[in-house]
Amino acid sequence: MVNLILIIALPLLAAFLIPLFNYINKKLPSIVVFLTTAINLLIIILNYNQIILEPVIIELGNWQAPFAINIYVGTLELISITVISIISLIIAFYNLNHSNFSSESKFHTLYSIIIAGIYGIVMTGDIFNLFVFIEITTVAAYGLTTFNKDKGYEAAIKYIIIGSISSVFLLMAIGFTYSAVGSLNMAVIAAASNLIDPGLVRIISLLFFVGIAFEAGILPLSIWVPDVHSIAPSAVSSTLSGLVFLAGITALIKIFFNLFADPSLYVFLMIIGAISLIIGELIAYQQDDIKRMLAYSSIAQMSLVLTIISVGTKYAISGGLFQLFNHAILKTLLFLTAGLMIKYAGSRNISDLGGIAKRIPLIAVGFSVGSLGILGVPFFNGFVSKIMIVNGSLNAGEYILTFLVLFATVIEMAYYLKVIQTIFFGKISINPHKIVKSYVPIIVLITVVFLLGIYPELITKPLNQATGELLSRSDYISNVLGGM
Amino acid sequence: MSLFYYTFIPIVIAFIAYFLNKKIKLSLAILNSVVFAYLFYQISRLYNQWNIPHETISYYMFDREIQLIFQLTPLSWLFIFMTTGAGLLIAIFTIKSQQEYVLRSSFHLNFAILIGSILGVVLAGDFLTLFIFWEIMTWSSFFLISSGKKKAAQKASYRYIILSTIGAYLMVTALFIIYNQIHTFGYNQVAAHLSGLPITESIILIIMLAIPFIIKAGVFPFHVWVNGAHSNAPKEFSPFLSGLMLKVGIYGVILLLYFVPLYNILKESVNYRGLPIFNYILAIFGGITVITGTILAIRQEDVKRLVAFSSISQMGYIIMALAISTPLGFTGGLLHLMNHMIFKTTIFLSIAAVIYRTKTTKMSEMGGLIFKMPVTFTAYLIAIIALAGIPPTNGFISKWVIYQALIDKGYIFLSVAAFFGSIGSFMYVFKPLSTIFLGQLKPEHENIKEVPFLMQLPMFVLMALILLFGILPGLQMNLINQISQLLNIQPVGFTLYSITGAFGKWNSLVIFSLFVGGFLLAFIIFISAKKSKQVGLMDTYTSGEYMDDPEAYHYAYQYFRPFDRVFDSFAARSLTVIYDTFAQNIVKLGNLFRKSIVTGNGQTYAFYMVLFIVILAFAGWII
Amino acid sequence: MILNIFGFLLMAFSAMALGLLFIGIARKVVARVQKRIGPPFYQAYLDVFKLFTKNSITHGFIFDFGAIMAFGGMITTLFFVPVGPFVLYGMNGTLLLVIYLMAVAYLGMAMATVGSGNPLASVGISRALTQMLGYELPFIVVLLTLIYSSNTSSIIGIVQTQQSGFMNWNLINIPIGTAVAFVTLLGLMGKKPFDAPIAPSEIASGPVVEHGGKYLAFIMLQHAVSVVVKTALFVDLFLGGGNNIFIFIVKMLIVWLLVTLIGSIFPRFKVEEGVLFYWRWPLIAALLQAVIIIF
Repeated sequence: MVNLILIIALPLLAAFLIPLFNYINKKLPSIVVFLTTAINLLIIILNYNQIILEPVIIELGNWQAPFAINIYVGTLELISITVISIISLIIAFYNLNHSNFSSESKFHTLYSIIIAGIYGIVMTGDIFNLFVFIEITTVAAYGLTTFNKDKGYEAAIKYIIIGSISSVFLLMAIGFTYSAVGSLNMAVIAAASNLIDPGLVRIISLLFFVGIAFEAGILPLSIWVPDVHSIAPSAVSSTLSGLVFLAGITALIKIFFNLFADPSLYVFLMIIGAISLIIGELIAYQQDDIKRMLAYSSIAQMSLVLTIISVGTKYAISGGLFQLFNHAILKTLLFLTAGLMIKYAGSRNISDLGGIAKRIPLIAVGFSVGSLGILGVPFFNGFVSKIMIVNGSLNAGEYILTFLVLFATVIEMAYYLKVIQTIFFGKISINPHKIVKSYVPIIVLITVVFLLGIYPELITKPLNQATGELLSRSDYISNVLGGM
Repeated sequence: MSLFYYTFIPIVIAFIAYFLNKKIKLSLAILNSVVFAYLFYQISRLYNQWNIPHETISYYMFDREIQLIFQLTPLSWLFIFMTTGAGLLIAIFTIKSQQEYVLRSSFHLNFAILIGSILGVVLAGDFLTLFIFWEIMTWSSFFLISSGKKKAAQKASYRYIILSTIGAYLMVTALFIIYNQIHTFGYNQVAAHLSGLPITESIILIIMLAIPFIIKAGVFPFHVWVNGAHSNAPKEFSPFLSGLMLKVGIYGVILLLYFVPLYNILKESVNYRGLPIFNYILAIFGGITVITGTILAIRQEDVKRLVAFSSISQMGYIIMALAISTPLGFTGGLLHLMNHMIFKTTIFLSIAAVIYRTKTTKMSEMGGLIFKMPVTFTAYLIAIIALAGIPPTNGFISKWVIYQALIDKGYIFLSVAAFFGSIGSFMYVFKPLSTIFLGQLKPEHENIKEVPFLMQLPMFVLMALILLFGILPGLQMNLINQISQLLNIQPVGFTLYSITGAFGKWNSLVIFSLFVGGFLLAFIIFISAKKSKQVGLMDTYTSGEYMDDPEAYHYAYQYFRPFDRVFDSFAARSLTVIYDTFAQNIVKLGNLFRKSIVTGNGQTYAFYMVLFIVILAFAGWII
Repeated sequence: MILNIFGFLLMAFSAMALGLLFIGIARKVVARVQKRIGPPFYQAYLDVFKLFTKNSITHGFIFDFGAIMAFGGMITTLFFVPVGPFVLYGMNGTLLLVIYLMAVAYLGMAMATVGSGNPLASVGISRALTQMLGYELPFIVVLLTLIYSSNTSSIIGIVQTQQSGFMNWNLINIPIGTAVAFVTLLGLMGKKPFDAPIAPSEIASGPVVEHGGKYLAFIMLQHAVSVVVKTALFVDLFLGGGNNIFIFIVKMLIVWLLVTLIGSIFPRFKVEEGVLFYWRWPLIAALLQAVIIIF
C-alpha cells in the first residue's frame, strides 16, 4: 500500500533533478522520465484493488479535513490515473529516442512537470489545489508548445492570452466560493452548496466553467487548440489532446456533479457541447494540415463527451466517460503515427501523404486503427462507447441530441476516410525522408484498442461504479468528511 | 461445426494469410479458394438441418451481459450457400486474373473478411449481431471498392460508405429506442413490442429499421452509389458486388417484412388495394428503379457502368415482387434473386476476362473479340439471354413468375414498369454484345488469346447452372417452398420442371424440347442448302468504296443515340446532383464557420471568451 | 410421337407457304396502290427458290448461328400460336411466352447481322431495338388488360372467351385496346411509317445488307413465318380466332391487307419520333383502356 502522493511527487522530483542528470549523461533525462512513469504505473497497479473497494483519501501534512489539503481517489479518478499512467508511459517510451527533441533535457523536464500536473488535477480534493495544478499544467504546456521554432511562439502567445484570462476567471470563482463557504475543500463545498444563495451558485459555476473548459476542449474557449496542438511536437500533442483534456473534463465533471449539482445547468452544458461538436467537426473537414484536423477532432470529441455526460443519466454518463478514455488512447495513437508520417513525408498536408502506406505499413495501419476506433467500427473500443452513448441519450429521450451525435460521426467519417484513402490508395508524390521507425508504442496501443473492443468489461465494470459515485453526492461527502 | 466458426474462420484465415502472402505470391488467392471450398462443402451438408439450436456468445456491454445469437434457417441457408459459392468462384477466378494487380493482398484480406461478415449478417439471430456484422461488412467492402485502379474509386467508395452509414445509424437509433423499452434485441421480441406501439410510431420505427437495407439494395432514390462503386471497383469484385452485396440488402428487407414479421403490423395501417401503404410505396420505388436503371443503362459507354445500371434495375424487379406480398410474388422475387446472382456474375466475369485481355473498359475501343475469345463470348451470350428473360434460361422463369404475380393483382404501373425493363434490357444487353464481341477487330487486338483455364472454369460452371435451372426449376422451388413455409407464406405448386402460376402452369421441359425441335428444323434446312464461302469481315457492302480502316466501320460509339436524345433532358437532372449539392452545402457551412470563427488573431480569441460569458449570462445561466 | 413430328413439320411448312403467299399478295396490292401492275402474287416463292440456288458468302460462325437461331426461334414461336383450330401446344401462359420467343428470333437475327461486320447493319439493329422498346410499351398494356379481363394468359383461353358469337369479340369489348394493338402491329411488322430499321434508301436495308443467297432466303422465310404468326396472334386475340381454318385465313388476310394498305401510303418516322409517338397517344389510350377494364 504505497502512498499515492508519490504519483504526483515523483515526476516533480525527477523534473527538478533532470538538469543534474543531464550533466552526467545526455541520454539520462529521457530514461529517468521513462522510469518515473513506469514506477507510477506500478504504484497504481499495487493500489488498484484497494481503491476499487473504497475510495482513498489522503490528507497532506496530517491535518484533518476540512482544514487539510487532501487527495481524493475514487473509482473515477482511479480509472483516469490508470489510463494516464499507461499512456504517459507509452509516450515516455516514444520520447526515448523517436522524438525530434529527445536529446533536449528541457523537453523532458517540462514533460515530467506536465505529467505531475495532470495527475494533480485528477486526484485533488481541494479547489485551490486544483487551480495550482491547472496552472502547473498550463505553464508546462506553454513551454512545450514552443519547441517547434517556426510557429511555436505564435501559438504559445495565443495560448497564454486565453490561459491567463481563464485563470483570472477561475480565481474569481474560487474567491467567491471561499467567501461563501469558508473552506476550500471540495467535500465541504459540496455539503454546503445547498446553503449558498442559488444566484451566487450559478455565477460561480459559470466562472468555474469558463476557467476550466478552456483546458477541456470546448469551443469557443478552446480556440487556441488547433494552433497549439498542430504546432507542438507529436508527443506533446498527444499529451495535450489525450491527457490534459482528460484531466480537464474530469475536473469539470467533478465540479458540476459533485460540487454544484444543479440540474438546470445541464441543459446549458448540453447545448454548448452540441454546438461545439458540430462546429468542430465541420471545420475539421476543411483542414488540409493533418495535425490541425486531429486537433479539431479532439475538440469535437471532448464536446461530445461533455454533451453526453450532461444528459445526466447513468447510461449516458458511463458512455461519455468510456468515450473519454477511449479518446485518450486513440488520440495518442493518432498523433504519434501522424507525427511519424509527417516526418517521413516531410510535409504536413494530407494531399502530400499519398500512398505512403506501402512504405511504412505499420504506421499507416496504426493511424487507420486509431481513426476506425474513433469512428466506432465494431470490435474496436470506440464501438462500445458509441453504442453506450447512443443508448444513453435515447434512454433519456434526447432524440435531437442523438441525431446530432450521429450526424457529427458521419462528418468525422468524411474527413478521417479522406486521410485513410490518401495514405493507402493515393499516388506517392514526395521524397521520403529517413525516420527512426518506432513500433513498440504503436503495437501496444493497437493491442489496447482491440482488447477494450473485445473485452470492454475491463473498463465498464469499474465505470459503472464510478458513475454510481458521481451521481450520489452524499456518498462523496460522507466519504471525505465522515472521518471527521 | 459451430455456426459461429463460419463467420470467424474466413476473418482469421484472412489475417494469417495476409502475412503469408508477403512471402509466397499467390498463396492468398489459393488459400482463400480452399477455405471457401471447405466452407461451401460444410454448408451444403447443413442443408435440411433446420433444427440446429441457437448459439450465443456473451459480450459485456452497458451494465449487463449482451448475447450475440446465431441461428440457421432455410432463408439464411440460401444466402450462405450463395455467398460461399460466389466467393469460391471468384476466388478461383482471381488466381489468374490478378497477376499484375498491386493491391491484391489487401483485396483478398478484405474479401475474406467480407465473406465472413456476410455470413455473420445472415446467420444473426438478433438485431445487435446483425448490426455488428453489417458494419464490418460495410467497412470491408469500402476498402475493397477503394482498391480499384481508377482514380474515381476513392470518390465512389466514399459516397458508398457515407450513404450506407447514414442508413446504419438510422437503424441503430431505432434499435436502441426499442431496446430501451424492452431490453433485448431478439427478432421476435422486437416484433411483439412493435405491434404493441401506436401505429404511427411503429411505422416510423419500421421505416428507420428498413432504410439501411433499402440503401444497400440500391433501390431508387438510393441508387446513386451503385453506379460508381461497380465501375470503379476492382474488376473481380464487381461480380460480387452485383451478385451478392445488393442481395444482402434484399435479405434485410425479407427479414424485416416477413421473418420478424413486420408485415402483420403494417397490415394494420392504411391499406391501398389490399396492400399496406408502406409496401405499396416500396413497390412503386422498385418500379421506378427498374425504369431508371434501364434508361440509364442504355446510355452508357463504359461496359461496367452499363452492367451496374442493369443490376440496379434487376434489384427493382426483386423489390417489386417482394413488396406485393403474395405467394407468387415472393417466389418470383426469390427465384429472381438466385437467378440474377448466377447470370450477373457470369456477365461480370466475362467482362472481367475481356478487360483482363484488352485493358480497357470503354466499349468503343473494343470489337470483334468473338474470334479470339469464344468461351467468354458464349458465357456472355448465355448470360444475356438469361438477363433478357428469354426461354429456356432461368431468367425467363423468374420473370414469368413475377409477371404472373403483378398481373394477377392488376397493378398497372408495376406491370408496365416490369415489361419496360424487360424490353429495355434487350437493348442494353445487346450493346456490349455487338460492340465488344462482334463487329470489326481492332488491329491492336490481333494477338489477344482466350483467358486461362482457371478463369474459364467459373464461367463454365455458371453457364451450366443457367441452363440447368432453366430446364428444371423444381430444384430451386424445393428450397423456396421451404423458405415460404418458414415465413408462413403459402407455397407455390411445382414439380421438377413446371411451376404453377396464377394464370396457368409453366412446363419448361416442353418448352425446351420444342426449342430444340425448331432449331433442328432450321438447321436441317440450312445444311441442305449449298455451302457458302467464307469471307473476312472487311469484305462488306460499302457502295464501291475501299475499306482500309477497321475502326471506321465499327458502329459502337453512342450506339443508341436516337434513344438517348429522348432522355437527355432528364439525365441532366440526375439524382446524384441533388446528393452532391446537399453535401457541398454542408461543406460550405463549415467553411463559413472556419472563416468567421478561426481568425488566427489572439485578441479576437480573448474577445470570444468575454462574449461567451456575456451570452451565457443573459441566456439564463445567471438569473 | 411420329404423328407429333409430322404435325410439327406440316405446320412449319404450311406456315412458310402461307406467309410467302401473303407477302406476294402484299406486293401486288402495294403496286396497285401506286398505280402499277406489280409482280405476280406467287413471286415470293420464286424468289425463295432462286435464292436457295445461289452461292452465298458468310462472315463466320456467328453469322450462320444467328441465321439458324432466328429462323429456329420463329418456328418455335409458331408452335404456340393457334392458327385456326390447330395449335401444337396449347399450354397455359403462352401469351407471354410468345412475346418472348419472338425476341429470340430478333436476337438471332441481330447477332447474325452484327456479326457481318457492316456498320450499316449495326445501325439497323440499333434502330430496330429502339423501336421495339417504343411499340412494346402500349402493346404490353393492352395485353395486360386482355389477360386480366379474360383471366387467363393462354392464347387458347383468350380465343375461347370470344367463341360465343360476334358480339363477344375483343374488338367489341375492348375497342380502344384493339385500335392501339393495331397501331403497334404496324410497328411489329416493320411497315411504314415505322420502317426506320429497314429503311431501304437510308441504310441500304439495314439488317439484311450482308445477307445473300441462302441467308437472304432464310430471312425471307423467317419474315414469312413472322407474318403468319403476328397476324394470327392479332386475329386470335382480338377477332375471335376461328374454328374454321378458312375463315381464319380470311380474317388474317383482312388484317394483313389493312396493314399493307396503311403502310403503303405513309412516309417514314425517324426512329426517335416513332418511339415518342408510341409513348404519347397510343400509350395514353391503352392506359385508359386498362383503367376502364380493371376498375
